[in-house]
Amino acid sequence: MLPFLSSRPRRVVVFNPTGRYAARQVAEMQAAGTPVVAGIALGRGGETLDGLPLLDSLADLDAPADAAVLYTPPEGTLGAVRQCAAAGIATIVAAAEYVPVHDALRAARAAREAGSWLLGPNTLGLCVPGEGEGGLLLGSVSPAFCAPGRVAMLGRSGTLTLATSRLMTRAGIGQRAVIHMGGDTVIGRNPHEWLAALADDPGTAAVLYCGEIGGDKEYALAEAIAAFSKPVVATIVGRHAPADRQMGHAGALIGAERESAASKLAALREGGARVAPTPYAAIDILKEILVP
Amino acid sequence: MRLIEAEGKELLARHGIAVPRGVMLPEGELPAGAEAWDGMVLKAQILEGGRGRRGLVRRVGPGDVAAARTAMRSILGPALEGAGFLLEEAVAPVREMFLALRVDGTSQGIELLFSAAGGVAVEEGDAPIRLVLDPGGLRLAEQVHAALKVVLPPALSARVAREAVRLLRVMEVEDLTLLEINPLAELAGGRLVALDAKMVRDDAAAGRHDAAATRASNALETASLSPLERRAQSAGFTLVEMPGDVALVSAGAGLGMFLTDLLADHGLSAASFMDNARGGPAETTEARLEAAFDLAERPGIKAILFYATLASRPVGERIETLLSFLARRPAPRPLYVGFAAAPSASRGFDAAAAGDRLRAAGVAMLHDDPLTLVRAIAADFGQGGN
Repeated sequence: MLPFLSSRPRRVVVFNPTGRYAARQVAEMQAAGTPVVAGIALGRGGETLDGLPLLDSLADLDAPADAAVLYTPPEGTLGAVRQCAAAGIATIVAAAEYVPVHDALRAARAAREAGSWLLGPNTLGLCVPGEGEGGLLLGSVSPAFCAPGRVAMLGRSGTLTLATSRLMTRAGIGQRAVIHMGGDTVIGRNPHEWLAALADDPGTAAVLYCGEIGGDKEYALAEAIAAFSKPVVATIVGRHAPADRQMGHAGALIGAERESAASKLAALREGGARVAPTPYAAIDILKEILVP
Repeated sequence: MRLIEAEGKELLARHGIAVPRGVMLPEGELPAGAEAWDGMVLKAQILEGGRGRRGLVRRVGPGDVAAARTAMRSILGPALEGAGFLLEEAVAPVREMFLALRVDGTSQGIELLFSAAGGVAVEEGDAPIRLVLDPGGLRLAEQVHAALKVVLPPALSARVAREAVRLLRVMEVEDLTLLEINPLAELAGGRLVALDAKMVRDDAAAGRHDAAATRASNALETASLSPLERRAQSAGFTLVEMPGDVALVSAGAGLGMFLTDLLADHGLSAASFMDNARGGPAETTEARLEAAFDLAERPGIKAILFYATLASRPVGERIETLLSFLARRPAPRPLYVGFAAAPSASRGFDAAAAGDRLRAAGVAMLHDDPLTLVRAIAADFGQGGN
């Protein structure tokens, strides 16, 4: 079970919250009702950021945090994840893009060994839509694009996660959670692990997976679908991407046929997912599935 | 970044991995001492594989180096005129093996691939042995040895296993995502030597390493880009040019691919894909528009599609950028614009007024749904689709 679904975080800390982008996200999280208790900003301890207390170190917190959002630059992300893992923080969102891949391997290992769920690196985080104080925003997945519901959405791309959650909401399909797992080759948890963790969530009736070309994470996901009792709908973007060209994300590159959208969609279909060529078509399938 | 063989081997040598003696060939002269070598191999230094089959790796004698280089230059053609040549001492392996290490994002480890028959034989031989290693794990050499001793004599298996662990450490220190040695040669006496090296360095870690040590590789990578792609790189964003009829301006990898797919599903095709680049400025909208408009002036381009999803960045800023750009440079083809902006991005922003101004500036259509925009382009240009 995912920690932020089984128990809503009560004490959220934000690392490096004072930059222009990060400060805007902190304000968004607070506006969404996320209980942000402190910002960690070395050298700014004792100050405040729009009323939010700033601390020099995670060690200065007066009580443990249960979620952390890191706006730490790429070169510091490994260290920040290690600190959070060592502090037993259950949910860690590492926003930075361009984290060196060997750092990401070490960060993922540290989080896993501590039992933490790491989103990212290279993530917009997650939103658990809810009425009033019931929602949760850890990062930048705009709650305005989301609505409470029963579909758990797992995305590899931030902008596609935003775009698809918005299209789902417009189509009248609410979400249990909108999760941007991260767009890098190495991310804290892989799609098949997210799927397994949603198996026992009573609030999840179906899963929408939005993947992309490159890598092989979808093959492990395809294998995991058989053991998952709820419907899985999957789409992969990049069906018309040229081979051997990196399409933005590190790893979004068709280096072998296995990494193409067609091969991944075929594997997911074989594994038991309902596959769709576009998010629009995936939403149409979800409408069928979720008919009361 | 892919590394050419010569720079890859220099990297290996710095870490104590044995490679043949060799030098980048200066123009018109043979390096001192080379005539005493037992034999020589001339190798064109390009990033692509399959050099042997293309005649870009040749045994040479001291008297025919210049002719071989001239022949290779003609094979390479003008597109690769910047490629250099590595002259190496020829070695006589008693066995050639294949060894590769790559970052495996799904298993979150380093995958080792090994074949007892390396060189060109690896492509026709049995599937390689595969083994995922945890770089933080203990007894890695023992783990590799256990897998390799099935196909190698025990003493050689142990030597290769130790070499594999050394290479894994090189990979970590040098921020490589791929390190492939093919062939890994066993010489008479048992010494292991890397006869070729293929490497990919993680771009995100480029700042940790001496750029001068990979200057030639970087130059070849840059040379492989189109002039417009190079310009985008300098401006701080990524542009991939594609044969297409719609110049696409977008931000975000997934959204860009989504739009590319939608266009293709409607009988159109994106001529460009754009995303942010490491170290680029926070705002590159104007540079992206400039590139797209340049593309759009080419024959065959029918329209320009500009689409952005904004969760918190103010949409007003983006629209003002677009309007001021259009005031300076009218769109050379019909321009279709879309913004998906969350309320926080639209706070204090008058969408209706902005729409009026955009239309007055010549925007053919403004809509917040990507599919509606793509359908409109398809309808305007007589394309079918879904």
